[in-house]
Amino acid sequence: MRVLGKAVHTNAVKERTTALPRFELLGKVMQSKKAKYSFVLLFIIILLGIIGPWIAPHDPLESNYEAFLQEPSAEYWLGTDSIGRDLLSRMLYGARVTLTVAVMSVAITVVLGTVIGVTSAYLGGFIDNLLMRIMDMLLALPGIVLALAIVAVLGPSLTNAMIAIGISSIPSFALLIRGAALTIKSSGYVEASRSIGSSNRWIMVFQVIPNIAHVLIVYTTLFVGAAILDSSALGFIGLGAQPPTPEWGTMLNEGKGFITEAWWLATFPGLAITLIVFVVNLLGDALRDIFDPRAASK
Amino acid sequence: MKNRLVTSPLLIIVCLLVLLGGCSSVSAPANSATEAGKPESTAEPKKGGTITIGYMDEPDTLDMYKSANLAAAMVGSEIGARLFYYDPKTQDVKPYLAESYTISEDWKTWTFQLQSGVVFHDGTPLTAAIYKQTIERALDPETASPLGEYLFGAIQSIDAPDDKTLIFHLKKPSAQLLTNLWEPAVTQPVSLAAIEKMGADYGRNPVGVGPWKFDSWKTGESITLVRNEGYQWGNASVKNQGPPLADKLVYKFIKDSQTMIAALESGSIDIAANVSAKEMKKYKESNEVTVLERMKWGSSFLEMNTENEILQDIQVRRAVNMAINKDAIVKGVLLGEGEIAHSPLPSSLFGYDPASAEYDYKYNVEEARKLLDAAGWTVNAQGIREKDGKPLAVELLSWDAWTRTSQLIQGLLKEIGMDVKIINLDAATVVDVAGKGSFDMALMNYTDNDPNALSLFLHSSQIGSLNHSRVHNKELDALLEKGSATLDKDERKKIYAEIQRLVVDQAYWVPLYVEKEFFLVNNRVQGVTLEPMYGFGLQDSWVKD
Amino acid sequence: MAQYLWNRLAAGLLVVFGISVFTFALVHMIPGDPVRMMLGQKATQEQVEQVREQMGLNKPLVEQYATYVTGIVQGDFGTSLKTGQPVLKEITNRFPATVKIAVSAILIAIVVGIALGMVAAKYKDTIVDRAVLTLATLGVSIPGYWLGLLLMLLFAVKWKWFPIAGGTGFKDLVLPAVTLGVYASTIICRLTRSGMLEVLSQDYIRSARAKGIDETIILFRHAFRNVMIPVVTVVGLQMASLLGGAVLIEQVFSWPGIGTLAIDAIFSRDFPMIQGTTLFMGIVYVSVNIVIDLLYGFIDPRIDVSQQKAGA
Repeated sequence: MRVLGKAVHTNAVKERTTALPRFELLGKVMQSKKAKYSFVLLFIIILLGIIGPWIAPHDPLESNYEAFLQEPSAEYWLGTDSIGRDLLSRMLYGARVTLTVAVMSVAITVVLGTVIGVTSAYLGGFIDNLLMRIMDMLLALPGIVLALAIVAVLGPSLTNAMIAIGISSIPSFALLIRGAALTIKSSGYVEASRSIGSSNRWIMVFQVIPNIAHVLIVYTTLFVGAAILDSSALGFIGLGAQPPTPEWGTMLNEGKGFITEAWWLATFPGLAITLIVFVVNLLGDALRDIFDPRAASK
Repeated sequence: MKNRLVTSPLLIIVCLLVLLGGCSSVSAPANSATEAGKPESTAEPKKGGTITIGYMDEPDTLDMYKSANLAAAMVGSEIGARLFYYDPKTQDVKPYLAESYTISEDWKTWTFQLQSGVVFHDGTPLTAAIYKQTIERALDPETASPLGEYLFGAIQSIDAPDDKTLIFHLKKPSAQLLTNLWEPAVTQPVSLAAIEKMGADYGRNPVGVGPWKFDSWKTGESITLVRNEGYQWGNASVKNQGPPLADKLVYKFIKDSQTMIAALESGSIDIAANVSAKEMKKYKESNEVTVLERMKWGSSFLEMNTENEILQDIQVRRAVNMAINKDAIVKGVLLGEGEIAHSPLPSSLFGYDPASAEYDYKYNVEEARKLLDAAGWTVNAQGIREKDGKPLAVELLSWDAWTRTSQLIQGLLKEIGMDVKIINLDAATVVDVAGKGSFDMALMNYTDNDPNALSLFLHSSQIGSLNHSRVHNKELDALLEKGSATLDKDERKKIYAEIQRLVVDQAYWVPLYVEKEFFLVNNRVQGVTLEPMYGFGLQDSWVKD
Repeated sequence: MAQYLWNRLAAGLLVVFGISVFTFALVHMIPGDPVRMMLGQKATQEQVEQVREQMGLNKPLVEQYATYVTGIVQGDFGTSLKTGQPVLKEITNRFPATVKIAVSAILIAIVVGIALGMVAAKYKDTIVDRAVLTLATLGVSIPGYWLGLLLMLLFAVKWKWFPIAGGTGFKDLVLPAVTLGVYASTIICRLTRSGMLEVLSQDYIRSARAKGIDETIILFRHAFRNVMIPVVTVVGLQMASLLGGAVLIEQVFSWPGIGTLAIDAIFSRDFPMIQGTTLFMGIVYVSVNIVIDLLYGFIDPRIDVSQQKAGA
């Protein structure tokens, strides 16, 4: 569904060359209305995910045998699901699950993608060529197809979904980071470090990576949105989080069988996914605008 | 159709096969029609058009002797024909491909006279020799038929002295054989010429003698049958004994129940099979859609692998039985449109033991916990039981249709400290995986017309096939063998009562429920009926425009 | 040019080779023994060995891979465990249906995306522009399968404008194609907008404006043509993401394409089919991109494709 989100953003960001001094970052973020609002919204969602278990009115796993498929009511604000569990409570717990999956899988992507991208850019030559051919190969499979293949073999579970999504996003992330790192590599101070005999690893960790930090932040944000979409997509197919885990995609899957008789089951999780991805994408856009005034002026 | 007088032994047999309750809903349930399109039935039937049936499962193969799959049998029942048909009104078995038949005094020689003029779709005439070869093929171990032994196991040898005469020599008297011979699909004659020609591809190019001819199969999508213009041997249960009226019969595979309803609403299918009670209720008053219903000829149950390290302990299996709240499942999932199963047999089937309602395990979480405590399973910090450092954790095989039931069971077993992981697979794959014994628990159901169905699931000879629970119980084996060979009705009933008591006591299964099946028919298609057991009666159906 | 074509094909083949290593490795990544899984726990060691020999699993990995690749080159993708049919036959049966929705989706996306992008560019920084941009962000944020469910509920269940889960005819096509097209159109919309803005600030457009040429003519005749290049690139790349998206959308609409085939295969543990569909989608992606690369030259003769770096 997204896959290309990444590649397209390349076009938008690749031209950016100048880095802002890091201490200006927060101030800049707060100056942008778009960034401010999306930041606050995201914060609220994360907060809900964290305190969800305390404010949830019911046990998200417990069935009320007397209340299957109940409409939203005073007792069940968002109604109950097909086996009598409180939808609101499941949504709240689900926020936590969804956020965890997103963070974990993006962590895999960011760590490995950065290592591969930076190594490739900095070392160049054969290693660069080899790594990039491998990335090309993985890029030739739509992310969700790659993730499906991985889950098919490892078996469906939340952990495997995280691994699959994390791995399937590495190639595009690595390519983006490699691009950004290349511009740093050619700058004067890297040359200078090299001439005074700094080790490759030192240069990569302490010079290249800090200087592409802003790019990392933008891409990471954009990839979080994609990871949420992908993990809930796996859940929707039935290959992500497994019952009874309340994950939004899985809940959508359970709700899709009841669309006409229980509209709330597919509506709320769908809305929640859309909202959180929308907010994350807005934030990503805003951050990109801040770091890349040229793109913003367009 | 000439129908020789029923001889006295036959009367007894007919009594034996009676499936009481199952028929009552077939014949005339209070609130709904069994025949679709009643309001319009004054219109004149006409030829042409396509009838499209939406069904949730796809057949594995259309070679009836290589499948135990209900979807396959449903399609196969239209492609083929069988020796007898069952008349739910009189509860009689009546001749179809067999014109007449006699059974010897000692019950060991059965002689059938076949109808003449019956021709396969590929042009080969149906002869007694072909029927003989069909059955021999089903019994040939090389065919590896999952049902062959069950259906024809009583037969010692078959003679076909001339084209019309078919003689079965039985090893021992069998109460079940005649019931099998009216089963809608799985005892039909098949064209051996076609099998020879197609080889392994026969399963996707079946050739039978039924009213519908196989046309094409798009995997994952649909199977299309076309009218068999040469069909002239329709049985007496229908008005139209010639070729069907519609040009085409299409089975579309729609897994998702919501999509199924939407497809019916939008007109892309005419018949939605096995819809939920909740959906059905919306159409009760509809002028455009007719609701058909039938009590399922078989029950739904949870089977446990008795060779599994945890489940081999009878106390654990009993605890599982007590932990499952069947009332909640029937009320919540079936909306009360069904009944709780007390024994492995549905209450509608001959041989059901009413006493099972007394002696079965009642929902009792406390008692279940006590059993597990006594078996040495102690609760750990996460609320899951452990024994010798091993958690009380099992995998439950399930498929789409079971989504809610499986999750309810997961929640109910959690209550007694059992961790259940649900493994969702395709229905056919569940049967396959369970057959190989690579599972802990599985949800399963069956449709059959004879209590001997239990031997398929519980006789030790069926391990590796449908005896998923891998039950190896000599006492049970003996009873099952006796049950299928006993002719006296009361005697047979007693044997099955004993079998049920034993199976419940051993807690191999958790019998869950017997559901009502609902079918929605768009009134564009008139005259659709439900066949006994499964499948549709389409011989008098026609498409309005 | 011929040299370039060869280089491009060679690079493509390299990628396909890589994917085949991946799909081959898939089966060897199955936890436990695949033969045991097929035969069940109770199979005797003898039976297991026999099947292992039949499947060639007792040979060295390199040899197994060689057999696998030789098969693929000869069009033998293996046999489906579920249907017993050749995997490639099943795939080619289903593939046209997927192409149908993917192509329709891309057509919808081009029309809608370019139109919205141009409108946004023309009314830059107005409420219209902002609305289009917000819509575009919403378009990438909404899960396609959920959008599909909503469209199905409204247009098929409630208003009955379109059928559902029918054949693969035109009317059946509309909802899945629209659902799938939404995402792609947001990308094209953004791209058109920024491309247009860049072009509109160019000197020759300014002078055209100064000469009093009608704004509509400027937009269409001058600016639009220059925007086409990046859009075509994206369309090419989108084909791949559409294949991925199709997997999900097909699932929602029970569309009998390669996506439902792949997912059904997972639920049937039909490993040859999982391998086959994955490999096939990779091959399609590589082929589409080679074609797109070559198309460049035709769209804009100024671009000499042979100067570009070859890469899949």
